[in-house]
Amino acid sequence: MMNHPDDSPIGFYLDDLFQAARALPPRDARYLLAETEAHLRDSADAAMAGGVQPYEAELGALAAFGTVDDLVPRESQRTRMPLRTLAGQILNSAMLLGAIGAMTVGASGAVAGLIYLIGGANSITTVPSAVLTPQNCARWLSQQAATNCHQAALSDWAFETVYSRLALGVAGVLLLIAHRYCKRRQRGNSGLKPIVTDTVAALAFAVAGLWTAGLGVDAMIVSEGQGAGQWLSAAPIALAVAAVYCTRLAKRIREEPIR
Amino acid sequence: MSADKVKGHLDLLLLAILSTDPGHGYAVITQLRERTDGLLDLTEGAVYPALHRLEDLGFLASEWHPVNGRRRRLYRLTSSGHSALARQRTEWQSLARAIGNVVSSSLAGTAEA
Repeated sequence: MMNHPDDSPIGFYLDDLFQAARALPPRDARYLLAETEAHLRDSADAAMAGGVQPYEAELGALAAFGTVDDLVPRESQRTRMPLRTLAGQILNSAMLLGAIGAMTVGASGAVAGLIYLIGGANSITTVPSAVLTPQNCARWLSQQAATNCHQAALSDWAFETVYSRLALGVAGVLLLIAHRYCKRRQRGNSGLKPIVTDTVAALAFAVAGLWTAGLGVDAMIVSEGQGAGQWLSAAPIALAVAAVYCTRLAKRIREEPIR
Repeated sequence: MSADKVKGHLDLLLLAILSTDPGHGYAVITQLRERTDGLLDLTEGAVYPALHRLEDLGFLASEWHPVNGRRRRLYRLTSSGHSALARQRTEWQSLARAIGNVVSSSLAGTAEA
């Protein structure tokens, strides 16, 4: 005999679940309770529609659903990620973002090379007079076809600016290949949630882009453009990558609203 | 078929069922039962932690909707979920083919003997 709608097998089950689900994060507990109640009532309704008495229908729904002792540990296991798994996910995502970052630097090296060809070494680097020591000058002049030490230093540093970036870009491609290989071996999504990586990437590339743009503009104003190219070659690439990640992030937020 | 045998393939089954239409947990269980002619004996409650885990992985997205007077959480596949389904489906087909080859050859051997 049921006096109150909740004085029923399903009502008592939900009371037990409420108690046990306190170990879960509050929202997860609330959602689990709501979903379980809807499920059990649907299941009991379906049985009653087939002619089963309400009490038996509820007992049948509970038997098919499983015990609270079975359900809550499964849910709790889900919310508790092993440290090793988390470390693996961070490493995986760091590899991917590192590879994209390095390739972005490589692309900026190509742009810097173009600026070098158009504007000369002066446009992508500056050499402080403090480094123009006789020893350094002798080394630079022996390596570069230049008429004076300053020109030789500029050529050397410009060469380093372009080629070190291009080398980093190649390293980025290799890192990306390594990441793909690791991911295939791990069979599946082994990185952090895409919404997390996209947020980190969008922020990192936006900050890098704005920072280098600021340095470039500063060089244009303060140093009459000397060395501005080293920053202005990086800024548009970083901002373009940031824009790609922002677009992906906006799409994900629309697709998977943050709870 | 026991729940243990289903366990390793539950993600694939859930993704496959939700790939056609969004659905809530009870509808997923009903679909699973109908499509397998009741062959898969699964504890119904086990579906929810699995759905929540797939959502954590970004394979599913969910929203609350009133359906037939009850508030239900509807799950649907995201683009990552569709990719995961395609990947897991390929893996499953390879596994089924490999096991099928072994079992068929042993059957043929038994018949010959």
